[in-house]
Amino acid sequence: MSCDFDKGRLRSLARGSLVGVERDSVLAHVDRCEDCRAALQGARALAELAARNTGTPPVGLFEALVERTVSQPARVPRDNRFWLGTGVGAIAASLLAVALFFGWTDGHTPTDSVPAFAVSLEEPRQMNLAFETDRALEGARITILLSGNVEIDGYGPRRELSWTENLEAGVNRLSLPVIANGFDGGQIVVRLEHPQSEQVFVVQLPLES
Amino acid sequence: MTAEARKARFEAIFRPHFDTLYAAARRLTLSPVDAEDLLQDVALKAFEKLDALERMEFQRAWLLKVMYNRFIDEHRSSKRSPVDQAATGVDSDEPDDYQRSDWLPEEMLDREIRITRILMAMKRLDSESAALVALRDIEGLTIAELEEMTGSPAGTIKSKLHRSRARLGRLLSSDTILKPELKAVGGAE
Repeated sequence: MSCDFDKGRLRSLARGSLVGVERDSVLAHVDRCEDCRAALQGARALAELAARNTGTPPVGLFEALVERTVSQPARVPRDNRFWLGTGVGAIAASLLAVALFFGWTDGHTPTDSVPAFAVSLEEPRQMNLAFETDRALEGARITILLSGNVEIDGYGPRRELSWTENLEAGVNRLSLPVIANGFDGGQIVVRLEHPQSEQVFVVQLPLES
Repeated sequence: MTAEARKARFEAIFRPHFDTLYAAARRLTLSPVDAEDLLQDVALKAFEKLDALERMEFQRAWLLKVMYNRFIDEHRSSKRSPVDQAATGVDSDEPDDYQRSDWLPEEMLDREIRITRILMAMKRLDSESAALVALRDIEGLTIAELEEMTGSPAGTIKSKLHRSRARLGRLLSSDTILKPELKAVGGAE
């Protein structure tokens, strides 16, 4: 339920432009109004995005972009080379492979543990993720997000990959060649979206000791 | 019309907004390469709609709206291989916020994770809401500009903005965004 409070003041507070009594009065309202408290949190997140240092466009990017646009207007197919499809038998073939197994079914119990997969600076290691679904899901969207000092081998600085897949009932496998590019390791987030379901999986990627 | 003439028209339309669009793309992505992909999406759409775009009064807002819609609905990156990128000869250095020497790696990682959470939460808004709230709170369009662009009265726009911010805030508070709410049923090495 929305209240009658002046919502513009929430945005001003999020952007740091309220001080003193005015700031205190907004904070006092937010303390007792859940709707405005949520809106303030959203406004603060947007303010943080707005404040991101974006740098300047690389020299030559405009020209390269125009050339690609006028010469290749057709859409380029998405990459799904990591998807191994539905597996019935053994998950991993490589000695370096690790299988992390997730269930995408209704009514399962979340666990508190975050899986970890040790990465190496010297060579990519194949991280196999297995997703189990109790029914076929057509057009599921798979998104990979990387943070920290890790890369998907062959994709350089790219931090996000995504494509659409049809998941079959049973175990579906995803194989990612992961390599470290620094000493702090990182984290990988795999998000699976479907109109009827959505799951986010997080795997820590520490550097091997 | 020749291909060269159409290219020149496209450049004339796109160049004045290029820096703004680049900055917006960088805010919405986690690396310069992903930003270029998103920017390329917008360029392709703009080229496709060039005739209509030339007649538009709010070209910048339209281009930004296309970007936010792409970001929410279609931008899933991975359209260009590293080989293609190398072929452009474009230097894609990391932006300044990755080069600040006063940040510890742990702080950078925390910040990346926080930004990732925000971006993922935004992707869970519907595209119209995300575009509206981003045009206002990230790109700084005024309520009057949004009124003219959408044809909706100021009160309606303000209500939608508030609802979208509240939805975003709740998503960020929710356990479903990037918290380790794993449905792990086992693990093996």
